[in-house]
Amino acid sequence: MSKEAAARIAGLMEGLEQQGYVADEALATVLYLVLTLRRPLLVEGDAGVGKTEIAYALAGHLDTELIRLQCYEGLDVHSAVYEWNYPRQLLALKLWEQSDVPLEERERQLFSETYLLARPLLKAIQAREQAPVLLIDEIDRADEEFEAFLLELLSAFQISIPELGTIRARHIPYVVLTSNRTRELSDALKRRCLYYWLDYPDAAKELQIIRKRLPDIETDLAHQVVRFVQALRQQRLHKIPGIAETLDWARALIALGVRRIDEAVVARTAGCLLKSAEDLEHLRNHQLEDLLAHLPT
Amino acid sequence: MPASRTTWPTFTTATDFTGAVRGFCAFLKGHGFTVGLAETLDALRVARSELLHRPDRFRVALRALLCSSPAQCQRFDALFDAYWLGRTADGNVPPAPARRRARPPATERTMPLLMTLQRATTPPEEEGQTTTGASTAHRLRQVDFARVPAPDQEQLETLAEQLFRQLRVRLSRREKAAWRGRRIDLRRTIRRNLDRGGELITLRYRQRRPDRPRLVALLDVSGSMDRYSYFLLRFLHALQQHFQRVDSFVFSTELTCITELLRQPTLPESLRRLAETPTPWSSGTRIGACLMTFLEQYGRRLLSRRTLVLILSDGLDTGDPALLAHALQAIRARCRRIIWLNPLMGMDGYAPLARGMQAALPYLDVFHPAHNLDSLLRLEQHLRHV
Repeated sequence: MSKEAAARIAGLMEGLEQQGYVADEALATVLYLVLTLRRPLLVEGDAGVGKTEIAYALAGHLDTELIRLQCYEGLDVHSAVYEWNYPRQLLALKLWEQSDVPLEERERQLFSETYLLARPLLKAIQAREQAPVLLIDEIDRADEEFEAFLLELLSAFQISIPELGTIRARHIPYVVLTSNRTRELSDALKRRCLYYWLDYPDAAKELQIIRKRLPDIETDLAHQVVRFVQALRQQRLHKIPGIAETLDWARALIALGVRRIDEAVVARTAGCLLKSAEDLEHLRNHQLEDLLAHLPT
Repeated sequence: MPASRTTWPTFTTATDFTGAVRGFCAFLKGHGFTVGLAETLDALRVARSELLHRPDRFRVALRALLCSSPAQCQRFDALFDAYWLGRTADGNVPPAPARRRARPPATERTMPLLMTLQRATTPPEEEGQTTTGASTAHRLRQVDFARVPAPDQEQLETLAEQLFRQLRVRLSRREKAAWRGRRIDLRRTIRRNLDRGGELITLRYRQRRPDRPRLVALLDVSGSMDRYSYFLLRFLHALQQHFQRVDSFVFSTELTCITELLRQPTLPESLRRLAETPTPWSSGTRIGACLMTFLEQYGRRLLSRRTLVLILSDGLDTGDPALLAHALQAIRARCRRIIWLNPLMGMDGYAPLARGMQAALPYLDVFHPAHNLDSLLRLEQHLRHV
């Protein structure tokens, strides 16, 4: 058993890496728990550290479907769980006008699965072949009422539709929730979940990610990029660049044929890293020389 | 991580170990973690799956199971070491944190907000105790923030949190079923009209709450105002979800933006960050100049027809009243509503005679007290209908 767990964790790390996601052992261990304990995983961290990617990589590794629910303010049952297909229902009513189908039968048909539009959460419950990965993205954006509803779903994995009855999951989905921590989630929801705090990657991990995602990059340039971005994250910025920004920047540098990062290069490409006028201004006026001075020569 | 790949204490029997895991869960619970039966059972499952043959893995697994915030994750490592490896960074068993609320570190006197955060500084007068009222909650709602008896402080904050939370829930119901309104609720309409052969005779509607307003709060932290500002900050923190955006500033002789600090999801985190931020402070207030600074630096970005501007100050301005009037006029022209909160309004027989207040009055939409919980809660009416 001990061997098995260790082997499966190692397998997970490798499998995720094949999906282009660099996971350290801590994350792989937590994902192993997600697979064995069948508990949802709540990943928190700043924007752009790769929270959402975890779900995609996991789905890819398990070779299963990924179902994504993007949360936003005002998200309700109709967009998250199911909705009746009103136009079709109305059409059916019209068509039946001349027929002698009894009223009860009409109603039964009108509220059958034919007229049901499954939204992400219902889809995740209905999956037939194998357990899907259900990604509930940016749960902190949804209203608290929705959070409460979700809690119910995550404990029972069933959805009741008043007109139709209760639909139970055939395969319990692997659930990944992400949050940017714009608000505190309810204790109840947090208790249901395994928790993982995803930080900005350290230099070694970031280098690994760049190499994985951009195999063509020259080693020297990759090192410079990582060093520069790592130092930049230590500055007082409105928005700290995440991994996506690092990759964008590296791609831009490759496209421009840059071999060495200098002031002119940064001036032209800083928009890949920093997305606000204040941050760009700050970089130009205060930090650029310092940051460049730290680059490996 | 100091303890990765270190030796493991030996357990002679399985029961020993089960007990130890349970003990660890109880240990964490004692340190303010939410660990219930379900968590303990899962921890035991993890332990039995023999992840524990590698301490670092066992640590990671338990951390995922038992923590629920970055702050807890940080504390977890030390507690894990203390329990399983019998040591801490300084070699002592960590003291059990008595309260869960973060205590900001001691700092110099130049940060007025800190004085309230630390509470110990000025011993409050006993006047507050004389308030009449049947129950403690009732009494606490009436008590002036600046005169809270020391023993009540904690209770008052708990009560404030609870009441603000209720207020937020009230404000947050955005859409509701209705008899009249703009959007037709097709689902309910069809259901209702099925017995009429599908002809849509009776319509059902949904009503949407108006768009959420933006809020700009400017808080006076000079002199005695910081106590009131402190509670207003708690109020705003609790209500952040109600607004599309909350931007907060503190001022005395200079203006400081604290928007980012207030955005921390938990209040203790916000207050801790706030305590670490140096706030400009010297005697006197220059409201007019500070408002002008606000206009010049942030006005374009933050003011719109959907912005509520909330100013908390006693209006005892040492600057030029004409400047204050000018600034308020300019702000008023570009925002939805200016609400001025004056804690002195709680005093019997208060009249806005101060020169600053006199100059400001013509430009205010709402002039409201903010000296106790009740007065803050009554603000709801002004925040709701925008």
